[in-house]
Parts: sequence; structure tokens; C-alpha cells
Amino acid sequence: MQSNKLSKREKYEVYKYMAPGFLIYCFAIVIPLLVCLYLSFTNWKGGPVIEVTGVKNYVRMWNDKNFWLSFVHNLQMIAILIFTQIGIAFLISLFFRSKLIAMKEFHRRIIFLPCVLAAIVVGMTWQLIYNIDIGIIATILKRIGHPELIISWLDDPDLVILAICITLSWQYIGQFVVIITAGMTNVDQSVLEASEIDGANSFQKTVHIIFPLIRNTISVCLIMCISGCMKIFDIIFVMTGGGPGKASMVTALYAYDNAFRIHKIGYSAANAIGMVILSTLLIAIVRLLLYGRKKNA
Amino acid sequence: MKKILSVLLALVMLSALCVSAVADEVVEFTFGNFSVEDQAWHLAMDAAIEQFNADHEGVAKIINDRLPPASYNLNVATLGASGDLQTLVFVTGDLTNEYAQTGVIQPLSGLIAENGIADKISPDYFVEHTNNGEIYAIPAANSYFGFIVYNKEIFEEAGVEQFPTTMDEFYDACDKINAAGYIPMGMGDKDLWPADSISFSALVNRYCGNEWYENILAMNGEANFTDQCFIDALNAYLKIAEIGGFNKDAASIDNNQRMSLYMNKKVAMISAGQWECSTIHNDDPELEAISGIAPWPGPVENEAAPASIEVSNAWGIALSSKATDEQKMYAMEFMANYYVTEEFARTVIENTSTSTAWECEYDASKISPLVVSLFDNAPSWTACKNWDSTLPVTVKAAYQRGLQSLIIAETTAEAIAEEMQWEYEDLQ
Repeated sequence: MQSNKLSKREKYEVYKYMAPGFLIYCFAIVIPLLVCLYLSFTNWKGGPVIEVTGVKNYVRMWNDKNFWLSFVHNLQMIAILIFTQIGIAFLISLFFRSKLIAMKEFHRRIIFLPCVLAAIVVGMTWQLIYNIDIGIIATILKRIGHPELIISWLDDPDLVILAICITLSWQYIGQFVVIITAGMTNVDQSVLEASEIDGANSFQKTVHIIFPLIRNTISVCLIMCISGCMKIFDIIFVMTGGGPGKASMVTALYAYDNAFRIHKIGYSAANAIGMVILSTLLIAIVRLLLYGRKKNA
Repeated sequence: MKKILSVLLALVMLSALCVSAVADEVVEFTFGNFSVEDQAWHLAMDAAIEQFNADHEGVAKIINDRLPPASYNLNVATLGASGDLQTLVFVTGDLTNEYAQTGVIQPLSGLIAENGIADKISPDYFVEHTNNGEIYAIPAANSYFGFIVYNKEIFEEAGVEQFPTTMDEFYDACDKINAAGYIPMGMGDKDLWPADSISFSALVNRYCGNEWYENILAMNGEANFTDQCFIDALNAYLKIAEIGGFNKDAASIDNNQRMSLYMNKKVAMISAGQWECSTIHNDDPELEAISGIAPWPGPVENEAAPASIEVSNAWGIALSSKATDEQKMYAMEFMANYYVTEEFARTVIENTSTSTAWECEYDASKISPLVVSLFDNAPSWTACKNWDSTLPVTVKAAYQRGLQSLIIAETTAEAIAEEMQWEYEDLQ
């Protein structure tokens, strides 16, 4: 009987080809993470002197209401973006299955275009869109005779997170459309045809057949959405800087502020490690909800 | 065979690198600054650096490492954290203190006494860049901040004949300006510093006074951020927001965008820094002709200091601790003979209407009339410090974020005071 195990020589070949990528991964991800972990136990402010302070940074972070406020903002964004990014992407993907849409390839490319734009371009564009003087929303409202409806989206603490989520949805919906469309393509047509014969309408097909069959794809999208929201930094940095006040402060930006505005690099490292732990917990919870305790999910 | 050739090639390249490093005897050093081409001081900076390089050709060379202001601060913060600052580098007062404590910049007291720089600059101007009795940076500018530039025509149109001297009169003026269809005061605090640096620092001094602030900085327990005078000052600022005194997007536009509001006559006044007068002077002389200068109004009763104005030496030039002896020698020679000179100061003031920290003779007809008015009036006002460059960074972070919420009326004076006090006590 033939074994499917690799011989020593074959293993060596595999490791040889994996080595460069693995080394780059270690250099870019693993080593900085370990250095960050070390710094999180110090009170380093930059310069040659580093003093180890034990878990003092973590105790401070546990009691730091600004850190937890930032985390709550991350959670708010996750809650909104799950529906606006994944939900709308799912609906758009369904439309792409419809015969009513012409030039599907063209639409797919257009919808994906914002994903490749740099965050600074997206941030500045939407900052202009939201501007109450020269922004397109304000201009249209003035033209139709309703200037009283102009809202300063980025200055209202109650609306700023929503405004940022609209920007992020616009930017990344295309990414999820591509992923979900690919997942839907793998749905067996015969199952759908059989359901049509049984009298299922479009809504029933979507809810009872398509959605369950692309569950794994949706869970990948959820994990991508959550991890993206937890590390969000660039758009918020450009659009609001975490303001007004702390209304759009998120954990990544809070860590940045601590490092580069307040020069508490040790504490900022602790914030970063805290982000890693919280992100891992969130994703674990999502997987538990989706798959229960199945080992091979 | 191929492997041997590759190794040989690599060795040849490595040795070429070493040879070029050994052969290079020119002492090069970098000068980190934000005087890019659209910034006020670039003419003087470029001329000074070019002259130094020309006079020291083959011996020493300054590499002008400049970035736009928006990215400069991040650049300095990153390099400072890693201890890789440029040889000479522009830093603000709060950074001077931070870097002095972490040892990434070196003391200059002895050096500036030796080469005569100390004789050219008033001792008072070194205060913002002094840590534990040692001077760590040479102040570059001596500027007025926190005075109001106002459009006299808009004030007249709104029925405000004289610029208010008390906050009650100020609120009344804001109501009239609003009724006339203008925004009373332009504010652009997206970058967090304007609401403090060119605004509130002057207002708060009218309520609390210099002695109170010196006690805060000294951390001697004689003053706290929860003191009533500070809360009253914050409430005075908050009331401006509550009555619609600021533009609604005050927290999301930057300082340049707020200047555009003034230039486009959408706002009646701005609280400004001296350098901004040259913007008005250069871009719209007609607007300059109808603009006036005034100090921030103060409380009706119990004012701690009349007519306050910030006199700030916010930016200074520091020397990296990693500078070699040769780099230090040439860097200080550059500072003494090319930078801290009358010619440099004259170029700055005649082209930008801003002042260096050392004096010079200049042609007053070339500077902005607003600045001339400032020079005439400001000496009779109470000079106070700029909080942006003197407060400890942790307290400043809480304070500036708090002010950003305050100018859109989304927080209370007590909440800001409490958070600042918490950070302040944590430092002690």
C-alpha cells in the first residue's frame, strides 16, 4: 500500500520553498509581535533607557476607560458593518445571479474598484463629501431648498461612527461581493432547480438553500469583517483623527496616540497586545456561535 | 560554478560599499525641519543652508531633511522614539522636555555660551526649551499667538461698533453677528492644537493668570485643574459654542480650512497666530485693510490678568545625542554663523511677518500692517505662555481632546477638568 507521507528528501524540498515566505513572515509579523510583547512590560518612552515595570501597563489598561471606550467603538463598527458590508454584499451577489442585470462583469469591476484605492484617498474624498460648505451632500440639499437638513456628520459624536461606517461600506463592499459571489457559484444548480420544482420562491430559495450552503463563505466574510474592524486605523486617522473629542477613537488609533502623541510607547505596546487578545476572543466567540463545538469547523 | 560567481559578485559589491564609505571625508549631517516651499521660513532656511554648504564645500554638508508640517510631527515622534533623530532637528517645547528626559537630545547650555548664540537671544526665550536648568534647544521664533483678527466691516454690518472687552459683550456680539447671517468665530480643530494653541491659552490666562499656570507647571500643589478659575474659563469657551459662536464643523476642518472661511468672509473673526497675518497680507490685501487686531475679552469680574496674549517660543532647534564631535562642531557653527544671524532674521520678518527669537533691523514697510499693529499694542498686554508647548504631554492630550469636544458643545467643563487632573496627579 502506498503511503501519503513525504519522504525526507521531499520534506526538505517543501521546506526549502516555504523558507523565504516563512522568514519574511517571521521578520514582518512574529518578531515585531514578540518585541511588542516585551515592550508592553516596560515604561519605555523612546531613547536608550528601557525600564521593565512588570504588568503595570496591563493593570492601567484594565482601568483605562478611554481604552474600553475605544473598544466599544470597534464593537459598534462591527455591528454596523456586518449588516452594511456583508448584508448588502449578499444582496448584491443575489442580484448578480438575476437575469435582470446586464453587463455583470463590468458591474463587478466597478463595485470592486474602491477596494484598491488608498485609504488616504478614500478618507479625503469622503471628508469632502461630508463637508457642510462644499460637500456634495450639502450642495444638493441647498439646491433642493433644504439647507436646514445639512448635518455635520463628522462633528456629531452620535453620527460620526455611522459616517465612517458608510465610508468603509462603500470601500469594501466590492471585496465581499466577490467572495460571496464565488461562494454562490459553488452552489449546486440541481438543488436550486429541485427547489423550484417543489414551488420555492426566490426568498425561500435564498433563506433555506443558498444561505445555508454558503455558510462557510459567510463565516470567512464575518471573520474578515471583524478583524478589519478591530485593526481599523487609516480611514479614521484621515477623516476625524479619532474626534470629535474621542467619539470615533478606536483601539488602533488609541495605541497610536499613546505611542506618538503622548510618547508612552510601553503602554501603547500593551494596548496593541490587548487588541490582539480581544480580537482573538471575538473571533473565537463568532466561530463558537457559527459552528458550536465542532472540532473540524 | 554559478554559485562561486554569485559569491564573488556579492563580495565585490560589499567591498565597493566599504571603499566608498572610507573615501568619503565630508562631514554630513541632517537638519530636520518643515520649511518646505510653501512654508513661511523656507527662503531664509534654504539661503542659510546653501551658503553654509558653499562655504564648506568638500569639508561639511548639511542635508536639508524637510517634510510638510502635517507629516513632520509624526516623523519627529517616530525618530525620537527610536533615538534616530536628525543631527539638528526642530522640536516643540513639550518634545524638548520629553527628549531631554529620554536622552535623545543633548544639552546645549555650554555650547551656546561658547559660540555667542546665548548673547543674541533673550534668556526668557529659552524657558520653553529648558529642562532641569539645562537648555536643550535654541528657540527659533518668538511669536504672538492667541489674539483675535476680526473683519471690521462684518462687525459694523452686525451693529457691533467696538470690539468687545468682556465675555458678556462678546456673547452679545456673537448673537448680532449670527443674526446678520455670518458665523462669529472660525475654528478648525481637526488637528487638536488650534483650539488650544492659538485660542484658549490666551483666554484662560484672563481667568487664571500667569502665577496659577506657573504653579501648575511647578506641580507644587498650589494649583489644580479642578480650580474654579479654570472651570470658569472652560465654561466661558463652552458658552461660545452653545450660542453658535463657532462654525458647526469646527472639529472636522483643519486650521487652513478655517482660514479659508475668514478669507471668504464667512466668519467675522478668527483667533490667530502671528504667522497667519502674512497669509492675509499676501493673499488678500483688501481684506487685510478692513481687518483689526484685538486681545481675547475677559471675565466681567475677578479677572486674573488683563488683555492676555501668548508669547511663544514654541519651536526650537535641538542637537541629537548621537551627533559625532565633528557633526556637533559644524552644526553649532551653522547655528551661530548662518542661522542665528541678523540677515536670517531680516529675511524671515520681511518675507513672512514673523519674528525670530533674535533681533534685527528691518524695513517695517515690508511687513503686514496687522503685525505692525500687533507690535505696537501687544507689549502693553499681559504676556502668557502657550499651553501647547509647555504642558506635559499626557495632560495636554486629555486637554486638547477635551477642548475639541467643548467647541462643539459635546462635553462639560467639569469633565475636562477632571480628566486633566487625573492625568496631572498620575504624573506626580
